[in-house]
Amino acid sequence: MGVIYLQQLREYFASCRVQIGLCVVLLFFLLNGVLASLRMEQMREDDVLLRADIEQRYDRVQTVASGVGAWLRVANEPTGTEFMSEGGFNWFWGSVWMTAETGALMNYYYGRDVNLWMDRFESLDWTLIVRLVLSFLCIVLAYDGIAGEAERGTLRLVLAYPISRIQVLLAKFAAQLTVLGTAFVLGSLISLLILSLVGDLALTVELLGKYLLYGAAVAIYLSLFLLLALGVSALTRSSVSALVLLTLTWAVINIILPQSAYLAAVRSVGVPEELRSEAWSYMNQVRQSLYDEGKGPRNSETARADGYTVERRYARLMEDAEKEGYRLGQVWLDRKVERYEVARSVNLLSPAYAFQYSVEALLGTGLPKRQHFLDQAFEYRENLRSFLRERDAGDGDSPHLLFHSEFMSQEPLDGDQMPRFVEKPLSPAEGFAFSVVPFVILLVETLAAFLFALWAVNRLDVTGYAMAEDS
Amino acid sequence: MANQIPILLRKELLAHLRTLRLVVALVFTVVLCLLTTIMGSLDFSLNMRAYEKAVNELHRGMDEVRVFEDLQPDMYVPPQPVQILCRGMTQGAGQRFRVNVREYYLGADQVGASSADDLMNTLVQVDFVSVVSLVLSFLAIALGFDAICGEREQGTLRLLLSHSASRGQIVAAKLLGGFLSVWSPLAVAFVASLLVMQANPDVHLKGDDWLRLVLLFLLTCLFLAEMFALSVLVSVYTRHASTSLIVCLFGWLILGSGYSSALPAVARHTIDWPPWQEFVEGRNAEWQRFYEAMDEWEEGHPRLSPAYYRGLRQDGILRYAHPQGYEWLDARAAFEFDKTLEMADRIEKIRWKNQSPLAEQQFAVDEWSVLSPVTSYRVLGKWLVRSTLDDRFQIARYGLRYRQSYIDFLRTRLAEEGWRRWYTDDPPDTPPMIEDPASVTPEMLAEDAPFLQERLAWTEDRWQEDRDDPRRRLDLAGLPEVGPGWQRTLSESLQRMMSGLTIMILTLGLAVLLAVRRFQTYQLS
Repeated sequence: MGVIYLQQLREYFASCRVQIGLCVVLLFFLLNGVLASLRMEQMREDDVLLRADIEQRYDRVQTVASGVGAWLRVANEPTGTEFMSEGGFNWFWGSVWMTAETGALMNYYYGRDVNLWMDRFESLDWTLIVRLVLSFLCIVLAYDGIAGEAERGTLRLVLAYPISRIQVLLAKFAAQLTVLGTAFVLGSLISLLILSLVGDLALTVELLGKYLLYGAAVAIYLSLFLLLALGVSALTRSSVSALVLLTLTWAVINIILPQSAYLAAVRSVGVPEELRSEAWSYMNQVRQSLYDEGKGPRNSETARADGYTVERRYARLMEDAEKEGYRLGQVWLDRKVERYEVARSVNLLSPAYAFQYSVEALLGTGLPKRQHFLDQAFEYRENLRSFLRERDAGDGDSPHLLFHSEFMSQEPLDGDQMPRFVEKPLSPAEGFAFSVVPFVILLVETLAAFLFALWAVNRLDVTGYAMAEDS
Repeated sequence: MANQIPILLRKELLAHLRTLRLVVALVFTVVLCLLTTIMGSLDFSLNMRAYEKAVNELHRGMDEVRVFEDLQPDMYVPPQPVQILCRGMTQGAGQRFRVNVREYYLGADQVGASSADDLMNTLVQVDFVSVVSLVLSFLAIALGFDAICGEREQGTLRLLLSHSASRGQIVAAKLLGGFLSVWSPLAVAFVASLLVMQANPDVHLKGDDWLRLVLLFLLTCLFLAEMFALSVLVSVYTRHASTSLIVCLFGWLILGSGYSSALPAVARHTIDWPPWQEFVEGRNAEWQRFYEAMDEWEEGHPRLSPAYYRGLRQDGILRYAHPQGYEWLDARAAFEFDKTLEMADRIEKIRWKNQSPLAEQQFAVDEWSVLSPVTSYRVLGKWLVRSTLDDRFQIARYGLRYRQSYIDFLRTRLAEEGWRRWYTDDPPDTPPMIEDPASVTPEMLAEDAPFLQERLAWTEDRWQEDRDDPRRRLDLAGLPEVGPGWQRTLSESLQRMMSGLTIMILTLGLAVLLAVRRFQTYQLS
């Protein structure tokens, strides 16, 4: 078995397909390194402006009351591994605007500059290279693994060795995986080298850990394609037919199936834009009707005179209205995610996306990161409110009408003392939990490919080829 | 020497059409094209519903509007059925150009359920053109890679040359046979897709649409011929089918998926754009300038006492104010109108300066796409069905002209009926709420003062009588209609496609020429 492995390996590295393939892979990784470095530099510039915008909102705060009324902004942080897996970082909402004041929902928008005038495209990250280029290389390596040898008549020779067919299959598979592994390792090292020299990427132990995890996922994903290719190669009589079949399968699972996800999702879950405005208009209606009935807050002199009775009632009713508003807003948010989940489920049919979603979760990015960020934004508003509540409680002159800035403490408050939003990244355990489903799907599919290859190799009838040659 | 081409052609066709690769590719193509067209067609219906809803809301709003200030005759463009086959930048959705005095936006908005969704924006969409550009181009390569070197290896090339056919005829027959072989699955898939589209009751294809569909078919034929000719070229320059195959495969990967993924990423990172904050600051400065101009005007035209402007205010509309108050408000509205228009133009200029580099990124992607047949085909397809970014701007450019005619209409009407029609529906003979504002003291205008209470009660009664006065309805006769011309004509579209088409035809010609020349000296052993 070792002999076949070594012989195959020698043959591959000497072959033109591996040499060309290697060049192509390295070219892509090179491009990835350069583009990711440019992006990192751009992000550093953007972040200066972003921080300035966030901070000046706190700078304007002078009293507890103005702290309540201020519109603050929180922004998400990059994971630092966007070059490996971008995970929607440039597309998902990365900024949330909020105020502690009662009766205002949060506003969401893209975090850093996004180009909405551009046709949708995927970032050229490692995941894209592995998904498209390396998996294609799998097919190019393995399409004639069995059929080619059968056509040349060398298969009978190989099978004449005193080893089982499974061992022949495994030896070929191992040699091919080694070639692909070499391509991936060389390519990723080039990308890392450029990133650390030009893009100032810090090479840490944590990054090494992520790299190893990523490498393991890559190995499983590529195994799947190799085994599939070997199986098809054993099943078809001609290597060209195997190639056509495999490439079309590749195109379907890598490109066409994922692209249909959008249409499937749009078709199955509707997200009416009214859901969003409903939440706002509900709160505004309650406010308006209170004012119309003369139950709105009066000027502070009049209110103080009778102990803020009307205002207290107004505050209580508005608090309930806000709860309902947030509930309605949540329905809209959930529905959006629900629609996206449909698209993800369609994508999960494709091993390419099972791989992508696994690594995204393991690297702490993708949809789990977006949801985690939004949850933390909600949490931050609560923290902000507890801080302001405490500061307000310390002021004996304040009417303590919570979160109505006109009726809260006028004591000075330095914006620097207000709590800041710090995004906590997804913990490895959480990331792992999110990766379970896609990862299990990927593993099961790989296992299925293995069994398929095994079955195909075992049913291979070598004599048929012999007769064809003899005639 | 007799013309051997028909015989050779027959041989080539039979050789291709009987192969498993063609059958597999045919099945894949037809199934995929059908699926994507069905989904695209369903999505078209969704977009059509969204468009109809938006237009209905527009008409309802225009029926209810009482003053010109609230009028917003937005321009809507329906979703285009041909874009089911090539979604492009319009995503197959209807488009809207906002028409009012205050603001405009050069990139038309999309009308549809899924526009501007951060989650859905991460998904790339499939259509007929993208399926064909991947699957059928691969078939073209799979049929062409061993055209010459394969026959050499099998030894049949020697046999072929022993016939009376010239080498030129052999290559010509091979090319022609290959073209016909890749065009046949295309024709099946195209017709199947058209049938799916026709089955949708929302799809109404006009003469121009049919012409564009025919051209799209011809464009696809040209593209597939180009891919096949290129693979034959590789097969003439190589000795072994296996080498030719590897070169063709990686060529296909790089020209197709590789180039189309890398191009936008490169454009995105190499064309610099100013931060959005710059626009926000510029816009704020313009507003500041506007307020200052208004303040300056008021300094020159002092405001009368508040009693002149006191009336009934409902839904943001002032009624029953004093005629002298209206006179002042009219003058102010006329001045404000001009200033608002100036500000809108300046803000849009700043916005465009800020945003045009982003549009440049997409334009660069479209321009540089000519370097690969696959991306070139996709972009030419977008030009043909009018779904490029520039086609969206074309709608906005038309919308801008429409907005100008709307503003001219407003000026004429306001000059005829008086500027008060801008902000109130009071006819000129409406009695004021306060007949002699000069005698009213500030105390009388306090919220709980009996005088004000009594006057307010009077106007409310009066309003109940007046509200159905036909003169209060806004007469929209003469409002300019949105005519045709919001989209490029076929000849304009073709003009924009010229450079891409020329390169495509030249590549095809060059590939054929080189293949023929090289084959003249092709060594058999």
